[in-house]
Amino acid sequence: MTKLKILLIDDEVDFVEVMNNRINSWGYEVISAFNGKKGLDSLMSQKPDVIILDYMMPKMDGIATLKQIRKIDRGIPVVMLTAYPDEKSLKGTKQLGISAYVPKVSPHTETQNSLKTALAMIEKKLDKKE
Amino acid sequence: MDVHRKKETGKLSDEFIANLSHSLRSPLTCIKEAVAIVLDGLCGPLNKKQARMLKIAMKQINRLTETMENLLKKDKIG
Repeated sequence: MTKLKILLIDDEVDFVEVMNNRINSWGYEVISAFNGKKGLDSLMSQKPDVIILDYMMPKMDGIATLKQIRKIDRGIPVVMLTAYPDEKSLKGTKQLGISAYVPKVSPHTETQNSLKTALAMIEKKLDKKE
Repeated sequence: MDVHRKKETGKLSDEFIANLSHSLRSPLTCIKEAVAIVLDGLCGPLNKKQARMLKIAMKQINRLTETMENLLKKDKIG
């Protein structure tokens, strides 16, 4: 089975490096981009299978980036990392086809556990499609 | 204070708390994950003493996280 290629888009450089290590340890390949624009470039040039996208980014935030992603690829699974996974802050995101929301900074739910579960679910779905 | 000003002040206060919360939580999450990665042996094997020190660090990170969350919760309620 080929390794799932994941594009991680987040402006926090240290967080990206840490998560890169973690996601790699689960057997996935990770490509990083530190802003929305670079993320879009990587989407087109690297053809990832899944995108992990930070909600809160300067200039082009997660939603603006996702809107552009959907213009390029309507079906790619996107996991949204968010500090506030509540209805108010995620208003208007339903139609953008987000596969999972992962709390980035929740004190109770471990970010890595939620992310691992989300990625495993997406991997299963993608396997079924093939 | 009139209703409009009260609303405005409330909004500013909410924004301040949201920014403060993000500024505090983000680095803590990063520190916690980085320590967890080393503890899990992803950066190579640890000796007993190193593992013990990192476990203490993790315990204190969790303690700090809990204190911070309680403070933020208190502010929300108040």
